Amino acid sequence: MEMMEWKLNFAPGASPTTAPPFSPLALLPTPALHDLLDESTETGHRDQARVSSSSVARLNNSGEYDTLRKVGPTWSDMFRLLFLLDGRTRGIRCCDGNSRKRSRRVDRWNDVPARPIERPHQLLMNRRTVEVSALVIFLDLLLVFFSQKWKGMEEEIAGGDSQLFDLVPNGRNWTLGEGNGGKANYGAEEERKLELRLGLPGGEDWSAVQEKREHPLDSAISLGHISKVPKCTINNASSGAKRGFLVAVESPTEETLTDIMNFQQLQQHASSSKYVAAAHSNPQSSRTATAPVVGWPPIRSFRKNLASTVKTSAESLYESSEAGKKIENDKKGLFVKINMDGIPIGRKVDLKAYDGYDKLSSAVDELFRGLLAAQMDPLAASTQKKVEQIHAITDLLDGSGEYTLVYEDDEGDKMLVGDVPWNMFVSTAKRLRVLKSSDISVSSGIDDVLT
Amino acid sequence: MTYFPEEVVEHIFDFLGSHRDRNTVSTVCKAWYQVERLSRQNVFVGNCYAIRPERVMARFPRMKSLSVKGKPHFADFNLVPYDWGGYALPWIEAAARSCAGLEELRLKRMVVTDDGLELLARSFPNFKSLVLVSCDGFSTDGLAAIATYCRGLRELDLQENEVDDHGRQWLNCFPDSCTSLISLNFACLKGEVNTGSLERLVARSPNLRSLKLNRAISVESLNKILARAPHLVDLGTGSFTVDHRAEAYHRLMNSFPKCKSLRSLSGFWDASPRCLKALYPVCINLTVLNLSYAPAIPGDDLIKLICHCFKLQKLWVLDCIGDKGLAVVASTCKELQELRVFPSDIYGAGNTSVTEEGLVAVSSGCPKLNSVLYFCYQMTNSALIAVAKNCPHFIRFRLCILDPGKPDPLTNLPLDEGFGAIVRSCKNLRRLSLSGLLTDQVFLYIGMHAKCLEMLSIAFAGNSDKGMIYVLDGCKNLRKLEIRDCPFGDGALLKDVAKYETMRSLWMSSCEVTLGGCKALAAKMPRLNVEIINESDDFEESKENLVDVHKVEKIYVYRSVAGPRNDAPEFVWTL
Repeated sequence: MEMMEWKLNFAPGASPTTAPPFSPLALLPTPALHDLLDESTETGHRDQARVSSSSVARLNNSGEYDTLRKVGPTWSDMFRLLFLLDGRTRGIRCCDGNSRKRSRRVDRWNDVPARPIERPHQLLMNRRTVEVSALVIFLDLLLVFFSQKWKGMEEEIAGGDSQLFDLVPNGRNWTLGEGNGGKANYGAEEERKLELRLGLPGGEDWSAVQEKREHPLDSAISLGHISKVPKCTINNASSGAKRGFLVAVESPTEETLTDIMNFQQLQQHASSSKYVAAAHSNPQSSRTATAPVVGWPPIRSFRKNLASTVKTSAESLYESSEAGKKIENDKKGLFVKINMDGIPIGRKVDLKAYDGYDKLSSAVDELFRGLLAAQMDPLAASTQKKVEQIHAITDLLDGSGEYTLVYEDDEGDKMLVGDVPWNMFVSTAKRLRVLKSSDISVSSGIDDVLT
Repeated sequence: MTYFPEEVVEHIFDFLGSHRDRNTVSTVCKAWYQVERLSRQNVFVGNCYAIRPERVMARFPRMKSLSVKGKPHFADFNLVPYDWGGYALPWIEAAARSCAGLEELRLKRMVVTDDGLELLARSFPNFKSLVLVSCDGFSTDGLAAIATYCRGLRELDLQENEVDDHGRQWLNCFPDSCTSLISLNFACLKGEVNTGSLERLVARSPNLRSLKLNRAISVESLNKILARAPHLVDLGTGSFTVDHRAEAYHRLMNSFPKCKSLRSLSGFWDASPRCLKALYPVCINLTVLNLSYAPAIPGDDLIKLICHCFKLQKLWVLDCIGDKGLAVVASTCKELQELRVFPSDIYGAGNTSVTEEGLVAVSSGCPKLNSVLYFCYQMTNSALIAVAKNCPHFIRFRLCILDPGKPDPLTNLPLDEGFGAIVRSCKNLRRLSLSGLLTDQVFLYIGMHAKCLEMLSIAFAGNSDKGMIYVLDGCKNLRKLEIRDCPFGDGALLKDVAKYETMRSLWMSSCEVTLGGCKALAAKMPRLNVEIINESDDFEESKENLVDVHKVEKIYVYRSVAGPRNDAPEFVWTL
């Protein structure tokens, strides 16, 4: 089965000073969309995110995730998603269809004081469903209206320069770097399984209803149109609120109106300004860029290989000699921060210094035993003797002890330590945290939910 | 002046430094031509296919130094097929036949074979200097021949070549009588070298000033070498990593303070931050520092090192230095003239990369800056305008925004105004590389202002033929124009065909040029070689059937007095 992939461009930190051009995506409840997109961001290019077919799970009243459906960032999918929310919905979680996480995820997000980027990918839409539904119907109408206008604009521009909207010249730009097979170890079988789960749980005839509902919109709300959205508009729409999933859908009509006005401005602008043309031609080139372009960036090949060869040679050195270990330790990135519940002082541990989970957990014990004791009983810590008597922090890994060790992986997810092979853990762990076991709710991996 | 004795004229000509001036005087009259050709010692050939080697040798029989360049510049970035050409052997053979006095050979982007090197080594009794830059096709066997037969060798400089490794023995081949080495650079060799031989060679070379070691050389060997050659001026360090508890580490710490004449450092292939501390005592003297091969050094350690380098004139560094580090450069290195910032991880997230801030900081802090190569993820118009204002002395300005076609992130506008400011303000700009989102407007600015521009590299830029036409019309001194992935077509190519005879070469790849356009160009300008490079398999078969509207993937146009070359591979078709 063909995996559909879209590329969208995020520009984190980019704050356009000009009025953001109209974006159809902006009409949608932005938290939902951006959440989807962000969740499925592969750790890849800095501001290029590959959005592939994503899965959406719903956190229901009983605190479990139902699989809603597999979605892509198309208009129809967005709308379907909205209609799927009901009174039982406490949150939505989206998952990149490609990421195959077998390990368990920790769902104790809010307790982790962190940058916003570490926030949970949950949409807090409870009790807003009615509002949202009303909004959607309103948006439907708006979109049908504007799709007509938009078409008109397109023809206008296309009349001037037919290449502007030809985003796929020669068809070659769609040959994406990793291809569908590269990262997508997603079996066709699996894909089909997911596809079969379309629709509202309990409402088997949903898709049929959906078909009907969707039909009048399809002319406007199709992938084709999405792909014609200039990159910069997506940029603008997303840049402000990357990972802004906790932004509730408040007073959306206001936003919508400004967007509409921007749209009209853009329309006027389109006929006169060459910059629009320039901006429009942009996604074309940047798409070529993400696929490996021969000879770009203009660096001699030996330089390109430099980083990788150094790394491998350093690694081999590390394996072969004791001295190598020291070198590795000197390199940055091997020390990760570790915090513990109830202890205000953070520490750092060198993951490379341990060769397995057991040693790590005993090291964590050493790091925090004294601090924990001091925290609990400041007087006790004042004498060295008593510190030694305090019982060790044990069973960090299997969840049976008082504390459990979790880590944040390179995708920003909180995972239980011990689920993946040690080397994989070392290469992905970005920070560690010792949590009270009682506070942890573990959800099984999203894949388990889906299949 | 024509009635001056030839000796006098020749003596006067000696004061003409540049090749261009000597070319000019040789066109004055036949007598001057004769005097000039018999007295020219340095010959430079910018394109090995522009003239036949025999003709060069016949005209300048007394030359001592020959420099030849081969493949187009884009060959550096894998845009030129591997076996495109650029063979050095015909040049060496021709020189061996007619210029026995040759002492120096410099080749750039050429295919040098072991046979060629052996012929070279055996043919010129006074041979002193071999400099190979970005060449390939040879192995350490060829180097062994050079070492064996060039008794008076002073300089063996291998810069960024692809050398096949046939073992470590080549260094043994320097005879015991070889004591004349001044410069030895084998940094690009991948394999082991015989460190014992190297140490002995260094020990018996009292004049050695420049020594660039490859990655296989350990700190232990470096210590021994430094002990024997404390007078080195230019050092490439080798791997430069050692356990800080080892004895070698302490010896390293003691070695560097004795090298009082060190001015230039490079290498640091696997340098560990701790070892960098050894350099602190010599930093104050350094004028050249190349840290661009050292991806293992974190930004903070780079900063600590650069803090000590007050006299630095040339700095090559990876972008892990960060904007913060560049601010330190700006406040420390007041003498800085050349800065190159390379990407440390082109496919990675770029978290550590530098931005426009770093460039602005350096431009405001280093008033003597005149050459920049800067890889970054984003650039703004305002930053470029500030840079142009701060540093009007740029000779080379090469900016590479890794994401092609990326606009100014603040305004989403093209970078036309920014680059426009650069060409407006930097009157002496000779080399310019553009990147980012650019429209035809920037080429208008370049054509209007960049009067000294000699080499222009364009990628993913422009809207129409006009862009290229502006450049061809405006840049009177343009010698090399290389374009890739731009919407320039036949209209631009054929607008001013006579222009290409004033230039060394034109490269266009992935543009809109058609076969018909190339044919028209070739027909109009018989002294131009119009080469089409097409690597697709069906090209050969359909060569005859190709219609003129067929777009050509790559064209390489250069002037030549030699006619079409005869060593072209199948996929190169000279029209």
